Amino acid sequence: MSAQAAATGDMPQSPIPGGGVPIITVDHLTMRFGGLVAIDDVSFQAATGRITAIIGPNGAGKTTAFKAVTGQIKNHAGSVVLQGQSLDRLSTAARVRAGLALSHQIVRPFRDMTVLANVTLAGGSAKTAGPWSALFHRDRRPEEAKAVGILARLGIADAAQALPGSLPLGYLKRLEMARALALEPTVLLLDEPLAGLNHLEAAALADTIAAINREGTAIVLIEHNLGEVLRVCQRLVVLDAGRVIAEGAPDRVMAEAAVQQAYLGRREASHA
Amino acid sequence: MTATTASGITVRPLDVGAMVKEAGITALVIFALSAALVGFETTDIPGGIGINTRFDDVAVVVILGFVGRIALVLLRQHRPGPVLIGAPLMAVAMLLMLLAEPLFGPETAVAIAPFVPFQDPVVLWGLLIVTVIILVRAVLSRRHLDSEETAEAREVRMDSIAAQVQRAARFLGPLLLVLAVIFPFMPMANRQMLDIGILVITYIMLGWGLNIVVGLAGLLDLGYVAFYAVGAYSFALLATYFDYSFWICLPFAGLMAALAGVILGFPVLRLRGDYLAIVTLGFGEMIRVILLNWYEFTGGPDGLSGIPRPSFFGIAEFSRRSENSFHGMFGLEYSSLQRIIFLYYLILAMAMVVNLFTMRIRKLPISRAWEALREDETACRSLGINPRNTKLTAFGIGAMFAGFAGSFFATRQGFISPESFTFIESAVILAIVVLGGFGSQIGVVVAAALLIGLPEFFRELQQYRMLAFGMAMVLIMLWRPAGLLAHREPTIRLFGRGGRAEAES
Ligand SMILES: Nc1ncnc2c1ncn2[C@@H]1O[C@H](COP(=O)(O)OP(=O)(O)OP(=O)(O)O)[C@@H](O)[C@H]1O
Ligand SMILES: [Mg+2]
Repeated sequence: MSAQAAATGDMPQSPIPGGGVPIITVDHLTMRFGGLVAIDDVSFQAATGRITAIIGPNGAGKTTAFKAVTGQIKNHAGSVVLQGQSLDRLSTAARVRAGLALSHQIVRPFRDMTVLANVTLAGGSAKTAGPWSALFHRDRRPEEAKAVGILARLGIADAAQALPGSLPLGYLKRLEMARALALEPTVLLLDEPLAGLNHLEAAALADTIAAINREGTAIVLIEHNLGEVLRVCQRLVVLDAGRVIAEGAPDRVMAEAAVQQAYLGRREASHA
Repeated sequence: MTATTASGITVRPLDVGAMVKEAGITALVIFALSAALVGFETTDIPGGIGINTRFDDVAVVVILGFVGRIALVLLRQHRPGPVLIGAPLMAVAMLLMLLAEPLFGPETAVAIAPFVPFQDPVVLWGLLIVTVIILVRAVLSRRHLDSEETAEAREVRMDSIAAQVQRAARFLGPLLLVLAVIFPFMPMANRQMLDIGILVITYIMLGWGLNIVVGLAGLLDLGYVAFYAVGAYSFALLATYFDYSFWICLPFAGLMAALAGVILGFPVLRLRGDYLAIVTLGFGEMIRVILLNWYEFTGGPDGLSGIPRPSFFGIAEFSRRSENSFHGMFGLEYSSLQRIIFLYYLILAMAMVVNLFTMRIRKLPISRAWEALREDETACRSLGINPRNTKLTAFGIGAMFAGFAGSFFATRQGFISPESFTFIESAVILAIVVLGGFGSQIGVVVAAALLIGLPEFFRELQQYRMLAFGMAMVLIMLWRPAGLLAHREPTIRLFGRGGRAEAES
């Protein structure tokens, strides 16, 4: 692990740059779609009490990196180690049970269930994980209570009894996140959770994410809303065209020329 | 030109040409379908098979189809008048023909016999029912002249009816159960009635079992009969080779069937929808072919015979001469009906076990996992649900119940052969589930009674059974694609008609 920290070349004096206890280590992920190299030798770490943000232009490979971590895409090179346990041979479901949770960029609610039922199902994941436990549990009140609490925390309690089909994107994104939270993960992967929210909602949710992080969940966050990202994250990874072009403390990373050019340069050019 | 009723519905002038053309096409289709099926009848004559022609019946059928279509067109155009006159006349004429003997004595019956179409009164009864339905629609259409109901409105109304039926099922279910329990003691319960009852309940049990796989887990299984067969053969082999009693063999047979379900399910459950259906169909046939060819073990086409009958919980036998006979034990007269009644209660109890199990499992996490799986496997994976294992659970449970039913079948028949486990059995069981409305318990009962019970009563109808089957299926698909009594909470429809299939594929 220290070799890897050295490889990042960022803070050689501490095993985990940016502080915190290392909890997941993603090493040398490479994924090709035909001729396209979607991610190329991507490595990052996440630690408890720390928010790691992954930013980068559209198509940089951020979502692909997440999918490789959760095992939703296969045949990629590299390794993922969660709390000392290699996840490489595990199915997505098994990785989730090991403590990963992902909220998808493209929302995937169960449209036949109410919002509350969606989150309750996730909350009962320990019971639904294996067929035997799924057969011999009946009481769902604890999960339901937990689900109600999560919905309230994310500000979508008013939609608890609604069907997802009738809700705007901002609600669905938060429902995605609520389901992920209900799994009580040790590492939470959030793919653009602030999309579809207005400024106030985005700020509130970013605060909530920070609070959840402080309670002990390691968070990796993909987000285009740079303002909120820089406000809450302690560590920044910049992807461009599948490669990590910069990594480290947010202010330092943002000052790097490559980042300015690859990411902000384009944005400023389009703003002008 | 166009008249408008008080309520604003437009009644366009009648296009007689178009109407006759439509009715003509209907008549043509009916002719094409019935010329061969109804027109020729094979009869046994000494020395072979002879052919009877029944072209008069074909003609009557074609004319009736023509008239019926015109009636429907008139109804569609909001002109129930002629139908209100014609339909009652037809109904009365048919009633007179049917009831000529009891009403006017045998002479009249013989006198009018040449004018009565169809030898089977069943056909006339069927036509009478159709006529009455058209009449009812005419009356309703007169009453609702002002409310043209769109397909969607009807859908919503039917859904609410189904919801009401399902709510009523809470009382209807227990009521039916009580009826089923006291049935053997009713005066009309003779041997034949009890046999039909046993048959219907067997199919209800199979329907409920398959409902777990198809209705709850959403896995289209066309090879369900394979597990029925595995259960029956396991039972028969254990009982004949090792001489174990029914009550020992039964759980083993269920276990074997469940094992078969899990083993077969393991490779195929990666597939979805149509592909799964086709592969399960193949597996179902494979099992049958194995049974047919593994001569030393299964007896091949000769099957297995001498399967012991169940005892009264191992304490008494249902036989005339036995040291501990059932009738001796309870001080009754010996009657062969006693065993039939015992078999009846046995299958009733087994079916109720499946029902109670299903009712309970609906409230369990696994059921919600199935529901989620039906919708989105990827999302399920992200929630830590293992799709394959969860589906296997449904497959295994369904197979286990089929195995129990198979054991019952074996012990009741005393003889089994691969012939009893053809694809058509799978199709019938699936038809029961589909007709009843995926996932509806009471729907399965209704559908089993309709599909199994009715044809048994009207033995003459047997030959038309497959035809009626097909027709009922087509009608249901046109009319209530989700099944007769399909209704799912929540009541809000997210997709239009056909949207479901889209969401599931
Ligand atoms: N399943 C796939 N098959 C082929 N190409 C893919 C697939 N998934 C992603 N890609 C390609 O890989 C590249 C990276 O995509 P990815 O979704 O990871 O980008 P992203 O950084 O998440 O972008 P965005 O900010 O728009 O979400 C893109 O060029 C995309 O077209
Ligand atoms: Mg993305």
